[in-house]
Formats: sequence, structure tokens, C-alpha cells
Amino acid sequence: MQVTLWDAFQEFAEFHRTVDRMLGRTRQRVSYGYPPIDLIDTGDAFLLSAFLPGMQRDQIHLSVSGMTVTLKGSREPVVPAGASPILRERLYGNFNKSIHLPEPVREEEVNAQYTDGVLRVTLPKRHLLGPRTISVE
Amino acid sequence: MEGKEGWKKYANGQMSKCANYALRITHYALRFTFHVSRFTHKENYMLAFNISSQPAQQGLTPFIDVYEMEDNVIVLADMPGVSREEVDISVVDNRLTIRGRCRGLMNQNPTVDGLRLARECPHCDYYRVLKVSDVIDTEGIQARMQDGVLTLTLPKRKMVQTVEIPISIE
Repeated sequence: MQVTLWDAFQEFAEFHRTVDRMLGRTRQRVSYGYPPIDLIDTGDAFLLSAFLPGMQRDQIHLSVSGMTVTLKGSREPVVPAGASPILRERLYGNFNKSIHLPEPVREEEVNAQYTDGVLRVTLPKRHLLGPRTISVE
Repeated sequence: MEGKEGWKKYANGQMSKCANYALRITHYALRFTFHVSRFTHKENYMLAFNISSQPAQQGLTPFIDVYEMEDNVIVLADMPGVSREEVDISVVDNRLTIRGRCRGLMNQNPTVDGLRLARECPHCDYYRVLKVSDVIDTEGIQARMQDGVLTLTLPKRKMVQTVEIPISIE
């Protein structure tokens, strides 16, 4: 048994994975956990949108390696000075999400923008050479 | 016979003692919660913040944080994907309605041609109704929208001083 800091986001992700396994959904989802993402394959690139409201740009860490995109960061509650909390529903804490892409991408040409609480990432695909037919002699 | 009678009396005595204790504990508990609520000013306006359970057809419910300060109440709502022009806040009587239109997610195009591999983001509008009490001055509500977070500042009305009226005895 491992003693680690309890992380609410990972708990939900694990729970989701377990329920999927119980229901027989053995095909791996693209990703689990917070933040919610949209991934579109346009043929030439992947377009990734992540809903991350209220983040500072330097608190979002996005990295691409091979066919995995890792999105991690942390969000602290912004408490006004001298305020007492009445209701706290928003999500805070550390998040760490890996997104598995079906094809490799060109890491050096990935660009990301963060506007209105949405992180939009464009990942151009690394088109491998097409299948070459080899004639059998 | 006597032993039984005596036992019954003893049991009755014990039960009435328990009832007595229960009554006293309840009494003290009530007094305690009354003082606690007075201390935190909860009955001043709160719980008038009704967590509305609107049906999903109205829209997605954004998560909110509510903080109380001396002069105002601050509400922070997470509405990612909504820009400043697409937020609609209205106050009718005591109901504060927050609406946010979530459009043009992928690179400003409503529909990008492609294969959707993952679709976890909510794609519908945000909608939430909050009931505010009379302590809030609804004329002076200010709103700020940045990075998908809506900050509402609800000022409190200046409370009128209570005047002691002396009773003169004729």
C-alpha cells in the first residue's frame, strides 16, 4: 500500500476507470480525469481544447512526447482578503492528465493558446511515409 | 410481587431521568446553534442563496464560490469558453440569473470538420439562478469576466441603526 497525498482529481479518474472495467469497456479512452478535453482529428493535425478556467498562464504545463500529451498544473483558490467562504463548489488542486494520441505529432510545431478559460492546442501530425509496396521477386 | 413493583418503579424512574436528560441536551443544543448562527451572521442573508436545481434543458450549471465580506458578497462562477460579450446577468426581484453562451470552441469555428476522438467538454450554455436576500443592494451589482471566471460583487445595503424607544409610564 502506498501512502500518498490524497488527490481528488485522481480519485475520480480511478473511479471512472474502475467502472469502465466493470462494465466491460476494455477499449481505452483517450484520457481520464480533469480537465475535460475535446480532441478532433482534422487529417493534418489534432486540435485539442481543454476547459481550464481561472488559470494563470505560468501555472499550466503542457508537454508533448511521442504520442502522449501531458497537461498538468495547479489551481489555487483566490480568496478575497478578509472574506469568509459560504459556498465552495469550484475545483482546486493539482491535476495531471495524459492524453494518448493515435498518431505521432511534430513536437516542435505544436502551438497553444489560452483564451477565456480554454486552452487550445494545435498538434500537426508527423506524417510517416506512406506504405511502400515491395514487389516480391 | 413487591420485588416486581419495585423494579417497575425503578425502571420508570430511570426512563424519566433519560427523558429529562434528552430534553436538557436538546435544549442546550438549540441554544448553542442559535448563538453560533448569530455569531456567523448566517441568518442575515445566507441560505437565501438557493442552490437551484434547474433541469438540464435550461443549461449547464456552473460551479460557484461564494464569499462574504463586510460590505459585499462576492460570487465567482466558472464558465470556461464564455467570452465577456456572451455573458448575460439579470436581476428580477430577488432572483439573479447568470447565463453564458458557449460558442465557437475550436479555433473560433463552431464546427470543425474532423473526427471527434474525445468529447468531454460541455457544449451547451451555462445557466444558473441564485436567490439573493433583501440585504443585497441589487442596483449596485458589478460583474467582471476574465479567463472564463465571472466575478460578481454584490454590495450589501447599509443597515439602518435600530433606535431604542423608551417607554414612559404615565
